[in-house]
Amino acid sequence: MNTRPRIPRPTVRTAAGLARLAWHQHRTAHRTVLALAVLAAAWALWEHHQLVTAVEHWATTCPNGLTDSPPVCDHTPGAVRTVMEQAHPPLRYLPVAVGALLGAPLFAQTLQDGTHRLAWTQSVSRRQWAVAKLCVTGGVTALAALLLTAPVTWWWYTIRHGRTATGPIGTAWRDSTPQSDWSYLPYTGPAGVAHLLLALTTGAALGLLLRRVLSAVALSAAVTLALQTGLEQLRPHLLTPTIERTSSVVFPNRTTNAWHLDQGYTHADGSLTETYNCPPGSWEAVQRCARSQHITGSYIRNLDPQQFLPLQWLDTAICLTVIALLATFCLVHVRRMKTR
Amino acid sequence: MEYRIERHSGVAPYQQIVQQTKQALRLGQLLPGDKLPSASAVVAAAAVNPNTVLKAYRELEREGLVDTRQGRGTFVRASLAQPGTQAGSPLRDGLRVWMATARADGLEREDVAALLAAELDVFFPRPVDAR
Amino acid sequence: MTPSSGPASAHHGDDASATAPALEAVGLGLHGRDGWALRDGSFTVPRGRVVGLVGPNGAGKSSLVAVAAGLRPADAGVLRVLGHVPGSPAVLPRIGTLFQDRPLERRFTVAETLRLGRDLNPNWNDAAARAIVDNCDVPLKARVGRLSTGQRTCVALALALGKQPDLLLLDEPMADLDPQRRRALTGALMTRAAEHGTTIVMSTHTLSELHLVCDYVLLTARGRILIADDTEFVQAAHSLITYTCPAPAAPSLPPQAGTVIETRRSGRVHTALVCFPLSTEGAASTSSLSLEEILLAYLRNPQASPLIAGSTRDDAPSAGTPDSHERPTQ
Repeated sequence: MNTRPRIPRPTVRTAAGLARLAWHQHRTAHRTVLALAVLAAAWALWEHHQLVTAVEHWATTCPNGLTDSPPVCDHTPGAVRTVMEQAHPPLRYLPVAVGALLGAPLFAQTLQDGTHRLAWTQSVSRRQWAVAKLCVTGGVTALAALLLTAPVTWWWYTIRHGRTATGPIGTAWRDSTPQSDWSYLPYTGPAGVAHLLLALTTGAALGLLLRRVLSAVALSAAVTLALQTGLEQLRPHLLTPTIERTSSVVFPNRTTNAWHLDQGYTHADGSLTETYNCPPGSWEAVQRCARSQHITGSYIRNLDPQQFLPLQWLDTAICLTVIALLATFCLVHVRRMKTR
Repeated sequence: MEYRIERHSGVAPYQQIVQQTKQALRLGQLLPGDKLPSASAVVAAAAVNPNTVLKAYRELEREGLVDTRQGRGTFVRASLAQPGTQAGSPLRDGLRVWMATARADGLEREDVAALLAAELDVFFPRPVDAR
Repeated sequence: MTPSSGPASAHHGDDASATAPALEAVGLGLHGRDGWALRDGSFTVPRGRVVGLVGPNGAGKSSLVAVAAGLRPADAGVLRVLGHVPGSPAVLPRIGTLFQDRPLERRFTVAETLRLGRDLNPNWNDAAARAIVDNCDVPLKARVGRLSTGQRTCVALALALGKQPDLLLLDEPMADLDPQRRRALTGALMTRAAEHGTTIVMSTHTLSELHLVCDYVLLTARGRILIADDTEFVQAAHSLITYTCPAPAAPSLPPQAGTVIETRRSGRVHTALVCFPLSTEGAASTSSLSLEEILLAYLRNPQASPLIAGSTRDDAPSAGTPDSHERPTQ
């Protein structure tokens, strides 16, 4: 039967109607998410202020950094610890929450209640309906992610910038925010938004597949966590690192703001090893032992500071690709679904 | 003109409409030129299938009682009103007097109906092929 | 006063779908909860009819609605709706559906629900939808979740009618309505049929009023379509023939009586409900039956030979098939 599709391209009214339906169906969730995002953003802005004040205060109290200072300088300021340590777990598990609580019920709730048939028997295609739902909740998620990601990005930008500064303030930043392992990469910039959207789409696709809210929530949480972990594992291998070598077993100095991937020792033939079997002992003994194992020097592997943005965009691109695949799956699957 | 469909009487609904229309024609409630209610008006009130009304009107048309004018409606063409059936006519007044007497004599509704039916069959025998 | 195709079909109608039957099933099979609810069902529902879909629970009535609405495919065979694949974009704007559980967004108000219908349907008629809601005294500001089941039915029906469809698929539309609303909403449906020629397919258990509302009946039981035909024709085709047998144990029916649907005996009196009676020889009396009586007889005897418009009965004698029974034409 080759009939021309008679459902016209969505008019402004149909599109608005579908959007209104999509908003209304999850209005409590949408409002909660936006409200929480606003609160979190306000807190993050306040925390940025605290961070800068604390480090500036530290710079004046401990002008020589950690090396020669009153005992008060032994402790990193609280605001620094909040940003460097305590903020990590919530940021790490935020995608899991978004996938499970916002993504999974997106289709599963209406399919479980049977109310999808309300929309499916109007003069719109299932695909238009699914697009509207993904777009509206995706838009809400993107907006909330933007609200949260912007101040968090500002934190890290301030810290990275501070570390390269000269004088006591630079020392203060380097000493109080010591190591940079780029763990904040998926929380900031475009990646911050992309990771949350990926979690949402994952949850939505699983909800569409399972049609049961509870199982969709559980599986979405698990799959989102697995995806995040997988990306974490993948990230160090995405760009070519820089290897710095020395001709002694003393490691080279770390570059500020670089991602220190690993370190080890070099053989005479140029090959690398991460460890060598030498018992701790005197400097000469260690040297001798190293030589006996043909170790001629040491190396460290870094991703350079200027590789941060390319890596972040690469990460974002991967997320967007998976999002596109999942969304395509949703739109293909929704047309084929059989329901009561 | 409003039709009242007895929902569980054995009489087919379209026949009820035919009978009620004829009754109205006899009693002069419908006169030539009057418009019968549209099918949608009848079905909205009586909650019956529209074909019922159309079929009844077709039957009335076949009997030459009404005229369906395309797009305008169905109109009464002929009256069934006999001079004697009008209110105030001598014939009807006579019947009223008889009714009053019957009531005064203590006859019940059923008695009168039975009496009427019996005399009706004597004076106006039914056609043999009546359905 | 002739039923017109209505404004809805005017800009939809290509030649094929303008003349196509409202429903056309060929070898249709539907899975029920346990096993086949309908097997190898073939029937046609012409346009412009008010169809009673009758059958015991679990006989696939709701499944038929779900398949016709395009929610799920047929498990076997083909069902065409207005000449199209169910649920296809060509047919979706042209059918209005009322499901048995009346799916509505519980947190929407009635007004929001109607607005949804207005936004998502190109032929929406707000006055028609509001008339239904007003008929049921449903306040526009009330949340759907707080309405009674009857009121929910009204809102769902308002959505289906507001769409101005060419075909209405209604699953037990009157089941949870009080008599007054039942009457009013039946009137509204009949008006829609009278003014726009809308085909209405409604499943029902109320057989006593079927003959008032429906002019076509689809009877299904035990996985078979037993009747798919015009109600007047169904009534005309069946007779109740009474025989008086000399002895209680005597062989009962003359073999040439016709297609026997049901027989009963009580002492010497032997009655048979016969479809297309050929000969009433030896009968004590012959009487016609109400539609309800005929349908009930088929429901009691689901193995009976089916009566389906457009198909010849396998076991009906070919000679003297009832050309005399004039099939009412639309």
